[in-house]
Amino acid sequence: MRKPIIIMLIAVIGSIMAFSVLDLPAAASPSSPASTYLSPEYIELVYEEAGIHNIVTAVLLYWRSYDTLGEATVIFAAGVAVIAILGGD
Amino acid sequence: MIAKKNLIKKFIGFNIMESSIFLFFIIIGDKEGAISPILLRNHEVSTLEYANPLPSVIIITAIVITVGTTAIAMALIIKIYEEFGTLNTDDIRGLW
Amino acid sequence: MLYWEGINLKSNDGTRDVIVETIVRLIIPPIQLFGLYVVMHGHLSPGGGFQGGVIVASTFLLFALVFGLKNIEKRFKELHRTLLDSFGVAFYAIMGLVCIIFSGNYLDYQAIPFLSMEQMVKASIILILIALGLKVAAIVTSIFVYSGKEGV
Repeated sequence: MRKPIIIMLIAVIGSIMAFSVLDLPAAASPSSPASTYLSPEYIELVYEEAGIHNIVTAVLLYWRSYDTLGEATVIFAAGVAVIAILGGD
Repeated sequence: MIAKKNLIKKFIGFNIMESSIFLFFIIIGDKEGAISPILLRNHEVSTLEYANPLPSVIIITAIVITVGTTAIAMALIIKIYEEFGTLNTDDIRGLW
Repeated sequence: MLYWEGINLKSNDGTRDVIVETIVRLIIPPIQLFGLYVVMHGHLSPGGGFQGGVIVASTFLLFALVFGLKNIEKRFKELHRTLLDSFGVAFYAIMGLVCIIFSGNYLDYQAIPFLSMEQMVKASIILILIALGLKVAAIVTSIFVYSGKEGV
C-alpha cells in the first residue's frame, strides 16, 4: 500500500514545481533581479579596495569572510566527529 | 529517499538532491555572452559583461558542507552495520 | 632513492604489481606540485584554498590504495595531521583578533597599518588561503584513513 501513495505525492509536488518554473525570469537575461542587486558594485570596487583579480575569492574572503570562518569550523567539527566515532584504540 | 528501505539508497537519493540544487544555482547566475568573473588585465571590459560571481560563492560553501555531511553519515552507517548486522530500516530496532 | 625507504611493499596476499607501482611512484610528486600551484595562485586564476587542499589529499589516497593502509602512518603521521588541523582554524580566528587590536572591526583587513591599504588586504588573503589549503588536506586524509580501518 505504500507505493501508490508515494507516486501520488511525487506527482503533486512535481506539478507544483513545474508550474512555478514558468513564473521565473527568462534564463540568462541581464536584467534579472539576481544580476542587478549587488554584483555590479562588487565588480567595480574589487580592484580599488582589494587589488585582486579573482572576483570570487575576493568576495569569499573580503566581503564575506565571516561565512568562510563558519565553513572552516564546519569542516573541523566533521573531522573531529569522524575520528570520535570510528576511533577505536 | 522516502520510498526505499535500504540505508545506502536513501543516502544516494539525498546526494542527488544536493547536486541538483547546485545546478539550479548555476543557471540563475548567467548572462548572455558573458566572460567568467576574473578581471582581465589590459582589456577594459564594462561591468555588464562579467558573469555573476555571487552564486559561485554560495556553491563553494555548500559543496564543502556536503562533504562534511557525507563523512559523518558514512561513519554512522558503518557503526550501525557492525551493531545490527543488517541495513534494512524495518529490521533495525534500537531505540524504540 | 631515499624517499621510499622503510616502506613495506608486500600487499595482503603477497603479490606485487609492477606497472601500477611504477606509474604511481612517478605521478604523485607532479600532482602535489599542481595542488600547491592552485593554492598559491588563488588570487589570479580560479581556485583557492579548499580546491587545492583536496587535490593534495587525493595524492595520499592514491598512495594508500596502492601501497596498503599501514604505510600512511610513516608518511603523514597522525600527530602532524591534528596539529595542522587545529592551527589552521586558530590562525583564521586570530587574524580577526589582530584587526581588533589596531582599532578596526572584526576581520577588517584595512585597519592594519603595516603596508598601504590594498597591499595589506592582498597579503592577508594570500596567508589565509595557504592556511586553509593545509588544513583541508590534513582533515580529508584523516577521514580517509579512519574510514578504512578494519576490526574496530
